[in-house]
Amino acid sequence: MSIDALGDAHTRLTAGDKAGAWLHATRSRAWQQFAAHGFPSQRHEDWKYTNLKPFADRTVDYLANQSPVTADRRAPLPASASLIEDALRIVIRNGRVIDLPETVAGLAVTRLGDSNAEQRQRLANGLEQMDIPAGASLAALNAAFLTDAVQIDIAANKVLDRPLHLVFVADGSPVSIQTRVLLTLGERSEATVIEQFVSDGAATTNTISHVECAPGARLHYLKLQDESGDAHHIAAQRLLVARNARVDALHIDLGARLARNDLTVELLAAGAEASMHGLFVGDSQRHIDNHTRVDHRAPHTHSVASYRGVLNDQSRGVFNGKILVHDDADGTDASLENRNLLLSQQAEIDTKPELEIYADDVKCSHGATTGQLDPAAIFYLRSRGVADADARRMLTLAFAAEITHRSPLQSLREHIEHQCGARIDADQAEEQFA
Amino acid sequence: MTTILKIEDLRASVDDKEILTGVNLEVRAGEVHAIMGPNGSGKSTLAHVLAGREGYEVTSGRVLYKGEDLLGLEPEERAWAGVFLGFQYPVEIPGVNNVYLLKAALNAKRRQHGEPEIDAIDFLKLVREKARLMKMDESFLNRGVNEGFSGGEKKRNEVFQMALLEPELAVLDETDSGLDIDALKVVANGVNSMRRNDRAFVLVTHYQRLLDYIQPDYVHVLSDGRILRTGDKALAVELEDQGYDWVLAEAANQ
Repeated sequence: MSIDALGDAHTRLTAGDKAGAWLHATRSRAWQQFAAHGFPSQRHEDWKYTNLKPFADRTVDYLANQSPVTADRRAPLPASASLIEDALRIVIRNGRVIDLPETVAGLAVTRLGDSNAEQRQRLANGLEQMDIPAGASLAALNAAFLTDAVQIDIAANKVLDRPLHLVFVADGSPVSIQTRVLLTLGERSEATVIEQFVSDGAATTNTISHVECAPGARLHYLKLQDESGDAHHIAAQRLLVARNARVDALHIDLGARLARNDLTVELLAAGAEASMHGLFVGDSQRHIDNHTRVDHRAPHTHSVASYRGVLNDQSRGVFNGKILVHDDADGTDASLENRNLLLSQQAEIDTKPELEIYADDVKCSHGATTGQLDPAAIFYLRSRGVADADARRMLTLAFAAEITHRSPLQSLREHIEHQCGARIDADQAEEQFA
Repeated sequence: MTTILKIEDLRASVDDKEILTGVNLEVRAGEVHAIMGPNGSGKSTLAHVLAGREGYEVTSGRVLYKGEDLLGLEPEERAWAGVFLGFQYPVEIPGVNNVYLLKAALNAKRRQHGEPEIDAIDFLKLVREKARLMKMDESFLNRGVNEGFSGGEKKRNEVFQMALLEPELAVLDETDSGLDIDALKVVANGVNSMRRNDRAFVLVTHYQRLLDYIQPDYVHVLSDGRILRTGDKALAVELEDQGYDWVLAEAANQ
């Protein structure tokens, strides 16, 4: 099926736009851009190891044929969504923002339909900003077929003491979901924000989060991708970090048949810092692709990126990380590391950490390793009475724990380890929508 | 006394090279046997074959543990049956907590014997008691297995694990190597405190030094993959004074 089928669908969609002319115009420009480029192909360096065709075919099929997406507000949430206790919860079901948290001073959460003129302007700016690296045409697709969006603004000096939890649920008949999150943290504010994705069918998701941290702000960001084994999941986050602001990002990929994440961090002014940690766990024939990029655009900025992959069965992982130090970013301190554990002969990883440096006075390191479980360690544990399968599981979880222990919440850490355990135990039934 | 370990004409190869060329050994409950020998004589191979390490091919002979075939068991099954191997080079396992491993090991063994899992408080008591015995700082207990431990700390940890798992047969592979005199005393004290008439020890060692602190019932000289001579503590002293050459020469003349 070609993307021509989408033209009519786009016309139908924009005709029914209730949000008004501004969105209509934005969608139309986005559509033209997408129609000109189509889906990214493997000829593009950033997509070399990931064949998007299954995602593209399914997405075109769903968008061309799906009736307007509806979501049942009363349907229960999956149990894993309630792991994060006492959270300020935003529920996005099948792409629709259906539930917002109670009012909290210093926190504004706004749906697309409720946005004021200033918010619309910001959203339109975001939607038309198509230069998200490695996924420009997907960002255009997202804007052209935008299902819904949510804007979250945290006021200056506000310290949010409860985690903000965005739960993206896809269930019922499969749909294509195009969502946007715009998050701003005011000066010296602090927040923990969790984006969790769960599904029970063959949905396709193409979601983008745009985050701006004002000077002195501190963000703990966690993305937990735990979609069904049939789902296709494409996501991008762009984090802008101002002077003396700090972001700690943690990405956990446990699910989906096909998953791709693009994380872009821009350190805009002196003292801006970011840590990016990630864990991806694959079994069966999953394909998990993580791209990270950090731009050091100012002197004395600091970044750490460390991703770990655990691949079982015939699963395949891709990691591409990049540190880009711009010409006036002297005093940059940056490191980038990817370590992978292959649990089967058929599993595969393609990893490429990259440095691009245009400044003189910098401290940068990068590296990647790929290996198997250490037979000496397995024997040691077995000799103490730990059964072979348990020993392998113990060692694999220990490898993953270097990342999972960064989870801000204990309950989430346990959930991640449990799901991770299910992926690495060949004999354990997969739990998808628990 | 009942026989705990019986090794009959054991031959084993690594990469098609025969390392053990016919070992015979009988160890009864309550006994401590020291196996000494020059480098490359097959001491560690014997310890590894007893524990079930991969990469060793047993070409003939048999090993009976309490009358049952030992070599057919997986390493963890041997542990459940009461066999313990103290490693010459204990493995560092970052991320696997020392105490967590011990609890998993202890409970796996209990499950095999149809016993309930150990109560958390009882377990902690047990851990503290054995840690005191081995003069181990409690901060070691919650670190990754052997992670960042010095050579001496690793060996103490081995004996600590042994004390907790309470095996019936402990094979200690050069547990004394790399130890200073204080650590050696602690390790020896740990072993001595565990001597019981229903438990047996096989100490694989290169030096007689350990035997100053642990009195063996038998000393065996292993060379070229078989036991050339067996004696008592006096043999170890003789070896310390005169080296192994005279044993090898005597054997050659027989």
